[in-house]
Order: sequence, then C-alpha cells, then structure tokens
Amino acid sequence: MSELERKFLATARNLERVWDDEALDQVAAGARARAKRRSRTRRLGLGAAAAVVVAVIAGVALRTPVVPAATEASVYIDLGVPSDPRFNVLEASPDALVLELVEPKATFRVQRQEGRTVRVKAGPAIVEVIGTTFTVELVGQDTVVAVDEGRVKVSVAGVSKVLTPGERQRFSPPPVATPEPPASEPVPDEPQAPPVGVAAPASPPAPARPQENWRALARRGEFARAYPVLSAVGPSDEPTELLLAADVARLSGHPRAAVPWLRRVAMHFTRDARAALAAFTLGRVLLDDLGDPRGAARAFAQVRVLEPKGPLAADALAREAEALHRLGETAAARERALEYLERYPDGRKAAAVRGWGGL
Amino acid sequence: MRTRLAIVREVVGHREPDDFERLVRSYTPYVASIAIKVLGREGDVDDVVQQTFAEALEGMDRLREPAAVRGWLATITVRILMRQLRRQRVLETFALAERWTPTMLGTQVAGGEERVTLARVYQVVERFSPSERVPWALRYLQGERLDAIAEVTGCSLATVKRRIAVVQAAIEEAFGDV
Repeated sequence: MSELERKFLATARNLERVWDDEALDQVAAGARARAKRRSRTRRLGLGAAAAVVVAVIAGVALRTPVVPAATEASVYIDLGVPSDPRFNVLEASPDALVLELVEPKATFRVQRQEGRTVRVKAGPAIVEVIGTTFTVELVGQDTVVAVDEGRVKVSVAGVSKVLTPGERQRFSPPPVATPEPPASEPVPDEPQAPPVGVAAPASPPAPARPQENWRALARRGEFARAYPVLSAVGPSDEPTELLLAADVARLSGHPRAAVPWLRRVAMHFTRDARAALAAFTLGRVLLDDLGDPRGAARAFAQVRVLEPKGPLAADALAREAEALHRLGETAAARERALEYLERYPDGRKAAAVRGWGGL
Repeated sequence: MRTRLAIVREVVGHREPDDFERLVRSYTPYVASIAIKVLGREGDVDDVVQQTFAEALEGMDRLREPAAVRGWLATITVRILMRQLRRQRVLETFALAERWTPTMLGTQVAGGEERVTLARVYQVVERFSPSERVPWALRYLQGERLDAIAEVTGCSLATVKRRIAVVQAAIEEAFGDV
C-alpha cells in the first residue's frame, strides 16, 4: 500500500460517525416505513384506475372510526383510527396518526404501528411514540409526560428528548424571545461586515423558525434554501455552528455574510483546532471573493499565529505574499516571498511566490 | 432449506426479539461508512442507509449464505449510491440542482489538514462518472479488496481496475506535491 493510500484511508476514517441507540432505532423504523411504502406502491401499481379506486376506498375508510372507543382507563391505539372524546384526530394517514389532547390527562397504549408514526400534541409538547404506554397531562401551560413501557420522544420548539420507562418529565413552552444585542466584532476596519451578527440579524426579523432547519438543509447541501433561514435566526456562538453557517453563506453565494462568522472562530476560539482553518478560509474569501487584499493579508497572517508549523502555514504565507502584492505593498510582499522561499524552498507555490515578491 | 430468519439469526445472534432490528444495529455503521466515503457529505447518508435496509428487508428471502450478509448489504448500498449519483448528475446537467462544492469546514471529527485533504479529494473525484468514482472510493477511502469491489459493482476485475486507475491518475496529479 502506497503512502498516499494509507493517508487517504486514515483521513477518510474521520468521516465515520458513531451511531447511538436512538439513531439506530430511527434507521430501523425508517427502513420499515420505506419497505412498507414500496410494497404498497407496487401493489397499487396495477394501474391508474385501480389506484384511484384504492385511494377513494382508503379515503372513505380513514374517515370511518374502525376501533371501538377506548377503555376508561387508557386510550388504546391499534392500526386503525381511534375515536375518543379526550383527543382530536388531526391527521390519519398510512404514514402518520396525529392526535391533539383536549382533556387534561390521558394514558395511551400504542400497538406497534408497522411504519406509521403516532404523535400526540399536548400543550407545547409533541410526544412521538416509539411503541409504548405513556401518560400525558396538561398542567397549566406545561405538559407532563410519564412513560410506563417502551419509549417516547418529546419535542418542544424543535428540541427533543427521549423518555424511557419510569421517567416522568415536565415540559414548559419556550420563553418569548427577547432580542439580544448583536455581538460586535472588535476588528474595526473590515467594511464587509454584513448586517447579520453572530447571533442576531439587524435586518427586519423573520418569523422564528427552529434553528435545526437551516442546519438540516445545510447538511443536505441545500445551501440556497438554508441561507434565508440562517439569516433570520443566526448561528449560535459555537465553532461548529459558526463554521457551518460560514459554509452556508459561502456556498449560497453570500461570501460577505461568511466573514464575521469565520472571523469569530479565528479570533475568539483560538484554542479550537479549527481556528486556523477558519482564518485561512477568511483570507480566501476576502481575497478571492470580496477583493479585500488588506483584510486577507491580516487573515493569512493570523493562520501562522495560530499554527506556525501547521499544515496551512506554507499556503498561508504564500497567500499573504499574494495579498500584499495585490495591495501594492511591494516591499512587504517581497519580504514574505523571501521568507516563504527560505522556509519552503521546494514548496508547491514557490514559482508563484517569486512572481508576487518580484524575485 | 433454512429460512431467512434462521440465516439472519446465525449471522447476528438470536437474542433480540426483532431480527431485523438486530441486523440494522449490526450493520448500520458499515453501510453508513460506505455511503459517507462515496458521497463525501453527510446530508444524504441517513437516506441511503434507510433505503439500503428497506431493500434488504424485502430481499431477505433471496439470502442463502450467512457469510454473504456483509457483501449483500454492500451491493445494495452501492446500487443505491450509483442511482443517486446518476440522478444528481442528470439534475446538474439540466441545471435543476446545484453542483455540490465539497467543504469540510463544519466537520467536527477531522483536523485541519484532514479536512483540506478530503475537500481536495472530493473536488477531484466528483469530476468522474459514478461508475468510476464509486469503485475508487471503495478502494482508496473504504479499503475494500478489488475482488470485493468487482462483486458489489457487478463488474469484472479488469473493468474495476481500469476505472479505479482513471480516477487515481487524476488524484495523483492533484496530490503530486504531497
């Protein structure tokens, strides 16, 4: 095996994810649901006319209660559509059954659903059933969920928690958002700072949306759709999220918006292993996308401050020489070029650096 | 003839009440590992993994040898990945989808140098067709044997070698300074 192969294999191993129980449960449930849908699609594929007939029949069936009323003690959910004065049925489809609790309290016993998701909305909480017996109780503005058997996932304002047997937890609605002052950056002469701060936009506030929306879109590579959502809510002040936000901005064609987030990581999370990468990317954005060689030169210099012997140091020094050359600071460009050639005489940018340094 | 449950139980044990879930628990990391190496992005991995096990659930009747479970799942995964990459290329051709620009900035697990390396790798391999890039990724990023790659991609060993060599030449050119 060559050195390159060994390097690739070792590097690619970093991409592998650790799968916890919840994620594995989701894979199994999702696969079952897909298999069921595929099977159903094939069965319905006999012809369009037959499909229409089936759809009509199914539509009628879904409107017809097929299960007797639940017992007094608990609500039993089988594969049909339940009917009970303690809740309203908001959705009943082959894929989902959504109930809304209208009485203060009810206990649910849920049969394994074979691909159908069962959710109970109660106050601020949405309780997603993973196959179980549980009690939901409305207490003022809050919702109390207690699990007897199996597991449930409770979501409030986009934040989820899985409860297991014996667990009982009270969930409150999220507090009404109060605008925070935008975080200001102490670097004064970067005119490209966008109206979006680290955590809050200065532009008119858009309707609040769960923060995970833009992250989910970004992870699917849908940067153009993720950017407006991100602009409305802003990333949290944490390196991973700031870097992801910078990815979204750059790759959706808004490099200017990436600048404060990259700078935040480069200047304020200097002990994070990604700070140098953020500084390097900042330099590239400023130089290549925004035509700001002065800011770029500073950013590339910051890379070498953060990791003087790191893997990006050589390229950062070369790009700093390039930025100074483009700025017209020939003496400084020459100085950096000489430094590069002394440190990296066989560096892959040696020829270009000679040009930028006028050597 | 053994039933499919007997085979799965032989492979993954029989203590779990649900053999399919046991299969998922045993092989999800492997299937996901193939998907992320081929795609170079996390976004679609969950989708590929779920689809793989959905097709596996339907096809368990055709499984005859316990030792073949791993290769069987790899074959399904690769087929799904090929399908997905081809669909993506068609959409890109007609400007119905944005071209994926590799970026590893948000990746938590890798260090700076590794992220830069991975970004460069995927920038190179995405220029190639799925039938070329998938075998290369299986060989150089996943570490699969050539005969195993031939089996899961349904190609001859010679074809696999040729396709890998095409991509590898471009990689070596791009990483000539490494």
